[in-house]
Amino acid sequence: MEIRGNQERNIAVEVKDLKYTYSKGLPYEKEALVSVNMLVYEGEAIGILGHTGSGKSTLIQHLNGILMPESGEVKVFSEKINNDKKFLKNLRRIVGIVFQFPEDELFAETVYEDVSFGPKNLGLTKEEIDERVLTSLIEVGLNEGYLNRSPFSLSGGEKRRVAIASTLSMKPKILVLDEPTSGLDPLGREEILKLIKRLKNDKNVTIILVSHSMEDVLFLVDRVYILNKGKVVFGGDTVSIFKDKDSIEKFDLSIPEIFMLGEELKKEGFDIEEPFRDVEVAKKEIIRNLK
Amino acid sequence: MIGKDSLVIGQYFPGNGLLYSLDPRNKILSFLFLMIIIFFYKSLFSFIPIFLLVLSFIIISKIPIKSILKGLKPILMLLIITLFFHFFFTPGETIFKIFFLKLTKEGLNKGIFIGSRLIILIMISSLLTFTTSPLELTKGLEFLSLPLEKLKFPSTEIIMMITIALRFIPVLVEEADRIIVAQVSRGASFDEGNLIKRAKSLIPILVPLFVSSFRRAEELAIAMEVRCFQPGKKRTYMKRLTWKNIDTIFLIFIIIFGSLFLFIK
Ligand SMILES: Nc1ncnc2c1ncn2[C@@H]1O[C@H](COP(=O)(O)OP(=O)(O)OP(=O)(O)O)[C@@H](O)[C@H]1O
Ligand SMILES: [Mg+2]
Repeated sequence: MEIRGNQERNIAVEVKDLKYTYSKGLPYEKEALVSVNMLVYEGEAIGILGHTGSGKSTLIQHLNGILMPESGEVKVFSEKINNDKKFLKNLRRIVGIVFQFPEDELFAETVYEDVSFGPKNLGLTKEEIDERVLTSLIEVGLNEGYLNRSPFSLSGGEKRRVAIASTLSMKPKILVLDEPTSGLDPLGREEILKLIKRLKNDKNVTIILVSHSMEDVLFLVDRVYILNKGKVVFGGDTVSIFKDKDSIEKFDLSIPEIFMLGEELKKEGFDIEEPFRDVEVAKKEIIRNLK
Repeated sequence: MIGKDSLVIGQYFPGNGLLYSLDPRNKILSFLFLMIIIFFYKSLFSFIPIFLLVLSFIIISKIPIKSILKGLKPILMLLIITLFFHFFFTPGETIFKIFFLKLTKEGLNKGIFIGSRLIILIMISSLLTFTTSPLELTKGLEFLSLPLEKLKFPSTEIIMMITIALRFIPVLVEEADRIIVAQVSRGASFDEGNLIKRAKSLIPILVPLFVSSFRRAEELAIAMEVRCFQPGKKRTYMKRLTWKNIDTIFLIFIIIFGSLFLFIK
């Protein structure tokens, strides 16, 4: 954390002039990414925003070599992604992706089996696997009581957490999440967000969050990239984008209410030092003003 | 990943043109007629006009030749074997000889004749499926098989099942694609180890696929029930099939054109 804001931060992901077309050469080909440039530093959390069909999911599938660039390149920790089998295997350990509705991918008879699927594929020993399964379950707020339950007997929120745990058990350095909170109840949503924040703060995991929710973005990420029709149309830090009325309008975003509260209070003459990202900050600032 | 372009057989190719505007019943009848009539042709020369006709249909419908060739791929092996046996195992006047294999003049003629017929057959059937959406096709089939209902044959139910199955193939492919991507991201691999290990590696794909298919089937059943669907009852349609004048003209043209070359020796 000491070196944050410094030039010497490691680059975790570098995307250069990335272009990708689905069904290339067929009459129904679809240019999903036109030209994408993106830079993510180690230990930071970035958000990817954009309308449906803007290419967010396509972009993140390039980060662990599921899709290969048509042109341009993707580097993870300075290594260019290539087709080599060994390289890809290692890459998928470093970059963990939690896809949209990850609970649909649960398959095993017990939670243990599902969460251990990744580590088993890595060829770890039984002890290591057991240890990882337990730690990742605890990380997502579940306990060992769940180990022998069937994933299909869990509630939606619990399933989501098991699915996230099954990616965490690979101990990724970069965690990519595609709309991790969609379809969850408010409580479930808050817990997932806090979990992601913990991973970032305590374990220095680099977070790439794809989201439609401005609240999630404000709460979690340092910088955002906005995609539109396969191009990055905006890149900048989270707070400044919510302050900029023009971009808000131009990119059809909405300002989270808590953030608006901070801005309004400032207008009323309150001395607000830190922009309101969540309730904690708001509470702190308001109490300081009332003293 | 499975890739949507690997499912060419029976694939619809959205577009417009004469063939797209015809009634599916008409297309089924006309193309079926052509496919049957060429079995009665006795000379290779009869195939030429039919081939040209089909070719011009392909061109006016703007279907890439590449896709037609792809449709021919599955029968390539069959074609080669057919040609081989006809070329070398038809008794007659020998053209040349390698070891015990004799290429005969009769064999050459017969092989080319049967080979061309096979190719034209496939071309006609892919032309039908390329220019008719699966839903139209089943609707046409349903209508044409209505007389069978009189014989207590449950044709509407069967067609309904086919329609639903066709409707869900792309959904299933997409879903499988999605699941494969997710499991590969968790380090799964499907091309490692012996046969048993490979078969086992399919479980993480098949289980979620079954789970979601069952869920889908249930949702669909409920949705059909709340819309008062009752098996065996007569259905009405939002989009009715309409037989236009051009359909009559087309059908008559095909029948005349096809029969014209029946007698070339
Ligand atoms: N497998 C595919 N084959 C063909 N086209 C695809 C495929 N996947 C996505 N597309 C197309 O590529 C474009 C980008 O899709 P993508 O899934 O990356 O969007 P997205 O930004 O993730 O949208 P959403 O917010 O709805 O998840 C869309 O126009 C989509 O229709
Ligand atoms: Mg998406």
